[in-house]
Amino acid sequence: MKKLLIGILIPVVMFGAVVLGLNVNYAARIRQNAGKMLYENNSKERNNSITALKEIYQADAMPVFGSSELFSMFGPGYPSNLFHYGNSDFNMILYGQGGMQSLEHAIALAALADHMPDGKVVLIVSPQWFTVDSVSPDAFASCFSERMYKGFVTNPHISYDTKRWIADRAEAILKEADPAQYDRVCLYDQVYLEKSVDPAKFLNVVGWDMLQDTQTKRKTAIWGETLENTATEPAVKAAEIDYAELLKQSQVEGEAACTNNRFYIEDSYYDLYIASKVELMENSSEGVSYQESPEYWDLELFLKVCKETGIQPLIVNVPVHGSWYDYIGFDREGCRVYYQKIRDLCRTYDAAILDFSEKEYEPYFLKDIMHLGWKGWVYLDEGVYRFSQNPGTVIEYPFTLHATVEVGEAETGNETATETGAEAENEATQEAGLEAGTEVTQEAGLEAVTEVGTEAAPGKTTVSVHITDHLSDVQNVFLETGGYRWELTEDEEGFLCGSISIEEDADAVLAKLQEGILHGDGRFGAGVNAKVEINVEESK
Amino acid sequence: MKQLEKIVTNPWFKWVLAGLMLIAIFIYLLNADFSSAPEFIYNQF
Repeated sequence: MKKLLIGILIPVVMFGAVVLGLNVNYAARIRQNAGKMLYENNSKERNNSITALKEIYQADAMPVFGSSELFSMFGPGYPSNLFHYGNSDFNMILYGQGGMQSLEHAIALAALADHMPDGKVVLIVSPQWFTVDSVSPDAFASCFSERMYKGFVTNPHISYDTKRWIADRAEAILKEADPAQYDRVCLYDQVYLEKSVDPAKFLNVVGWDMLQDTQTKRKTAIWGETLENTATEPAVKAAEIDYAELLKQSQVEGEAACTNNRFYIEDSYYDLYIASKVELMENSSEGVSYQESPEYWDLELFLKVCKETGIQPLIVNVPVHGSWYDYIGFDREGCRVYYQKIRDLCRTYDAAILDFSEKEYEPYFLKDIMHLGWKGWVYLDEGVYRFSQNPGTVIEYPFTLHATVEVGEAETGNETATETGAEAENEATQEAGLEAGTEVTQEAGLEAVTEVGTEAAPGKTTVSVHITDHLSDVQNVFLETGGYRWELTEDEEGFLCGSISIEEDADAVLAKLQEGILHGDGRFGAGVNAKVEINVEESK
Repeated sequence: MKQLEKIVTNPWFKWVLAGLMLIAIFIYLLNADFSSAPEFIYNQF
């Protein structure tokens, strides 16, 4: 009997040693080439491998989940172009493909959350996901990663209820589209989720898992060795990126690429998909809307996973293409409802939101009728970088504002009267043209009016700030701009305002006031950082 | 020849052989394609 046991042990130990050796070898080779995989976001070899993504996330990098827009490699703002393919002190690690939606992102996040050192993730949400049918079963099955599913179902930080909810959705979709994958998913669920004690099922899952895990690592290791280092010079310092300049470049490139149609759609896309049927498409989408969709549940699952794993999400609310959607007669009121539902979900789950819904009609924001384009990427880059630089904060109020400078007559020399005087009508309004990049403020618009009045003593200026939009549930608020700082309190009508006296001429003060950052304590102890564009009104 | 005979007739030989076969099957399976997902072509429009 003893001899038999030793005999059985011999092949088991031999086999185990070889499998372990292979896995260690593959993991080391993946680690060696991880730097070259940073911007290989269209490779399944990278995206199916938790080992590879774990290595990549070690760098100073922000995971960015999305779908087909990740392949809209247009313009200077596209992350690989902007960050010189990894030769940068900050990178965006793109994860996703066409057809990948919230449910698969929730599964991937659950698998990867423990390997994200910064504890943050960005999800680019497309309105086109929110159809009545939501994700197509074929698309789901095609994008489905079993390695990610295994990582999800074994993550101890996610509650049973959330796991069951995701598992039910995945099973329902796969049953129709990929029965073989459905059977394997059911087996994972029975063993890891329902804790089945059936030894046959357990051995089946363990054996299959070992084989597939090694197979995935092997593919990734071999593929990684074929990659070349694509990083370009010079090294990028993310803090020094000039987004205003990038927007100008994007405008120029967009203008050159969109010449054959009135919708600001890229020429080749327009020729391929639209030109031949443009007349037929007029009002062809009447009655279609994004108001009701199972995708809202899936997005909620993603946010639930964020909450349970302690990951701080930034949701990017990509707009529809305004002029095209008008042309095809799409339910525009439904779009507004859609935007609001996304905002409400973010609010419910304390998620930061980068809300681009006001950019529906901005030329070159999108490259075609739905994918981020030249300017869209630049706005997104700036927002994501800001998000990455604010540890422990929730950015809740994104939107775009414009600055105006108004120069008026001074009325009095004392502070109180100056404030009053500044509220009087002003003359000689100048458009400052300080268009912001990605704004981080309230959806409805957060606008600060700064009133500058010279006091009787020359060289002394009183500056009063008045936030003209309501901010609810925020305390200990202060605004910083031009090196000055205002403590803000609510006035009688609930608007935030404050005033300081500065030992400088009004002109010197004016030169420094451009845009500001508003800080405060938001709900549930979360911080608020809002970018504020300032309308300056000068009273002399 | 005698050396080979000695190895083959060793009582542990069959177990070592079983181990080698297991490893061979595993390496063979590493190259197999088990994907069952339907083909999906993403429609950009």
